[in-house]
Amino acid sequence: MIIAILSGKGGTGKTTVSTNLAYVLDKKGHSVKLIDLDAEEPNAHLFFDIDYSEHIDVDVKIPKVDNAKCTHCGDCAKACQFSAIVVSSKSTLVFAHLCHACGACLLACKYNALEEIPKNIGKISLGSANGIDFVKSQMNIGEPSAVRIIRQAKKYTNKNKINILDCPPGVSCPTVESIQMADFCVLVTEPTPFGLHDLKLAVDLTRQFGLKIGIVINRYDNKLIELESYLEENNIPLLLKIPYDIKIAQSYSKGKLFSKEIPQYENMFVELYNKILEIVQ
Amino acid sequence: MKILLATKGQTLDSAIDERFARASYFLIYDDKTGQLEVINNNQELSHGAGPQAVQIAIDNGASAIISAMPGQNALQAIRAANIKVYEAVGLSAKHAIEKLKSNELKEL
Repeated sequence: MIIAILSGKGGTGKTTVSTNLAYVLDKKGHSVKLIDLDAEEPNAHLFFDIDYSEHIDVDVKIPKVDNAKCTHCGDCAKACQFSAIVVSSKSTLVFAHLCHACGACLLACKYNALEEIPKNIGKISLGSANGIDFVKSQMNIGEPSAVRIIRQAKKYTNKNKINILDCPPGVSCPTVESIQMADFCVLVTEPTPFGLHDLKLAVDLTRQFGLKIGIVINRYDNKLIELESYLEENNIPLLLKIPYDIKIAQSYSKGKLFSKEIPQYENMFVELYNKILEIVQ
Repeated sequence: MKILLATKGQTLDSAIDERFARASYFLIYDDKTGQLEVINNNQELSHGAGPQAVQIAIDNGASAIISAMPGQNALQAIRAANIKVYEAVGLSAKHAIEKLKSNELKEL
């Protein structure tokens, strides 16, 4: 099973839910794989003592101009959706940091004047987090898109395990890439107007892909009535409320798993998983 | 000679925009015929606005650009295309053209 944890708004608790859910399910005897797909700013590893076994480079192919063959016709620049190629009568210039490695320019070139050269954009690290299979994706600074790294990292999901995907914030390409193969999406939100606004965007996104969803409200304080009425009106299951508790914040600030530090909170993640199972089946 | 002016408005009375690639309009002015073409600049690109703006200058046959200081990507493309670029923030397009003719604009 693949469970994607996403949120829309950043900082609502995706990693908190991902890491604690992974820890508790592993402790209860399940076979768990935790995959950090937030390649722009991975941080799930901070909550474990990771023993890395392998680092794999992620390369994309970007165009290189053969000036002997190039006629400066401009077809490659017209094909590029990212303005990564500028063609004048004298030059054809490729901006490698704007290139999304789609290959459209190569298809457009009639003179075979473009070849592809590899460019490293990030890496994937495999390891073990105290017995939990762990995958970290990481993008190099300055790269335009994490999509290719996420696509590679997703290949490490294991059919025989519970795969927990710690997804990127937002609702654009990296998140779309992260959730497409999920059996279930957990949308983590916070009871603030910002949290609700971005939750609605995330709900719209998952509905466009026809995915099953449920909500976790983090830092729950019973104050934002609009949030719960929105969920009720739209028939969206509320799976878990994580209370607004200073002890949880303190544990998080030290890079600890609060379900481990505060035993009374362990069972809520078992219940979360059971509710997910119920909906998926 | 054709000149691309990165402006805030659609006429020669409009001011040169503070930004080159994300200017509201590009005016293509032909100083031989006095003909003026107005291009509505697509400002929705998250990346690549600089190279796109230079491609517009090239495609319209401009051999000079009058604008604010272009960004790094744009400058690189401007140099490769052998286009001259002049800074004229604070002036109207009309005034900037006059100053260009009398060699009073600073070439970047």
